[in-house]
Amino acid sequence: MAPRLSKRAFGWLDRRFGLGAVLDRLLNDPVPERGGWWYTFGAALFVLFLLQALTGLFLLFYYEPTIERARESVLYIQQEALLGWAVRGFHYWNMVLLVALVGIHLLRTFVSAAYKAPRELTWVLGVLLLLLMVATAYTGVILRWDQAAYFDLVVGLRITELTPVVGPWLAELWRGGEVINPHSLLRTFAFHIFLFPLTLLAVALVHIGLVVLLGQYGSWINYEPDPSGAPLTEEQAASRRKLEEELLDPKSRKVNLPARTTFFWPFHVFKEGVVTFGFFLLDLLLVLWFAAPIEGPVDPATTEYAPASIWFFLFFDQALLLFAGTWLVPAANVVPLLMVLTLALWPWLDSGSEVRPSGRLASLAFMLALIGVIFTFSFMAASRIYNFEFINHP
Amino acid sequence: MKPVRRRTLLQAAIAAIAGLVTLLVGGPLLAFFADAWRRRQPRQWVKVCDLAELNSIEPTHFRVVFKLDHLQGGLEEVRGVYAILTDKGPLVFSNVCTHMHCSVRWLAWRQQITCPCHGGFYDRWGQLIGGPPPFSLPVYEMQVREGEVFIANAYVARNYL
Ligand code: HEM
Ligand code: FES
Repeated sequence: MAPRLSKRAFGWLDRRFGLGAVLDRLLNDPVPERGGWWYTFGAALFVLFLLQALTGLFLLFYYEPTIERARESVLYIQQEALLGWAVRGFHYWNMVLLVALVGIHLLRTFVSAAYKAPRELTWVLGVLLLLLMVATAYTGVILRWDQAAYFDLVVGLRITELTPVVGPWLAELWRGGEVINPHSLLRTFAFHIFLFPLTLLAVALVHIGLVVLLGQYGSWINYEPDPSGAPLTEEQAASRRKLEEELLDPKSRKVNLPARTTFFWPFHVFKEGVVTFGFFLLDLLLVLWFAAPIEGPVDPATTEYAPASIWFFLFFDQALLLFAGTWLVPAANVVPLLMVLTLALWPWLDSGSEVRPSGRLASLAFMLALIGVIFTFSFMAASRIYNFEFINHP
Repeated sequence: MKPVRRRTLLQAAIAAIAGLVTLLVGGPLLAFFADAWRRRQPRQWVKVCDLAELNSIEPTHFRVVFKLDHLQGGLEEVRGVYAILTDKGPLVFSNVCTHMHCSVRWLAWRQQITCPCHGGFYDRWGQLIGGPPPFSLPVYEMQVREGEVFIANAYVARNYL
């Protein structure tokens, strides 16, 4: 009886909006087969983002966004509410993995030259997603309203204030006043739970929609003869025939024909599932082993507390130290803005038809330099913060 | 000729209505959000300490509480200040580093004010000695009334970039 019922339900939906055609387009999509494990990070990002939204929703059942109660309510979640440590731990560690995954996914698409025409917009939206992810993570930390949160907010506001011309006005909007006040937390809260994640979700859907429309590119290895030389399986041959038809269809936006393709469902989804599950397990281990951090109550006048930047802004913190004086405004604003712009415009800066890394040495050098600077600066900042502990508490 | 004109007219009308609604909704929402631009923290004088508590060798740390009555919630704002005696009377300055706004502290063993964030340092009067901060620590407007030190929520020199 059950299969008949599901069949009837399917038929009903199919007659209303063509569910069959939608599923055929999405699930029986031919995707590159070789290197498929590398093309799973975007899916992992999307699923882990949904998990992040889910744990966030549950935190809202206890969290109180006022400066008197915020830290207390986080402590309540951590110590009193049943499994609260796990929900909060998951929200914290999954944020760490999400920020790391955005970096990994960016690197894989960069090395693959997957940003080249016609996928420039996919890449530009990706850069926007990177910014939104970091903004969501950063505003989330402030909601704890402990010493670390307070000084993270202070430094963020200071950097905003240093923006040429509009800086002081922008900072005042975010702060909701001339000085940090109860509204500062509320506004940051609204950004964290509504503005940033909702925008992120919308942009991610367009981003993924573009990948579906244009067909997944993969990387240069998909356009060389397959070294294994193994004959195509029946399914692979069928997926390839489907892609060849799509390439002839004037309505299709697809342009690439990988040497060996496979159907998205279930072959690629399986790989995506395994990788996503791997990150999920990593999340679980982190949650079980390390409690999400929380520090003492806010004291703006402290003579004891030594603030430290959030891990993903450590390199920025170091830049603010190294380029002080007249360089402060450029280091805090102009240079980061130029860096993001350069990244976003990379499809036009490297617009040739060459997709192999060996033919794109300038691109690779740029990315290596960027990673080198980020890691070196982060390491410098971390060791500096570690050493300051001894200066402050000799 | 006629259908084309009608089409253009309708398109223009739709654009006009959409634009009007965007303005009617977006304008008030933005104004609502920017209410903070309109509100200024009222000027207030607050006691820091008794004159007798200060010396001219080391700056003393105090917490000063200003009111935030001009905002909903009417809470208070805590600021840290350092005060020291000089030839010209007491000098009260901010503990907010002029670099990234971390809270500085007097380190007796170094006889200096140091910032924990990037190691900016200042002398006992809050004058910049070195490190990344661009300026000396800002000095508060100050009055001595009957042996008590008061400051206003305003700097004599707002040494900010
Ligand atoms: C929330 C963040 C993001 C989500 C949910 C997401 C999701 C996805 C998904 C599901 C794919 C399919 C293929 C794959 O996984 O490799 C994809 C592809 C792609 N992504 Fe992202 N992405 C995100 C961020 C980024 C960022 C930061 C960039 C780079 C700046 C980027 C650039 C690309 C490009 C160029 C492709 C096309 C790859 C191809 O066609 O082979 N994405 N993204
Ligand atoms: S904030 Fe004081 S030195 Fe950077």
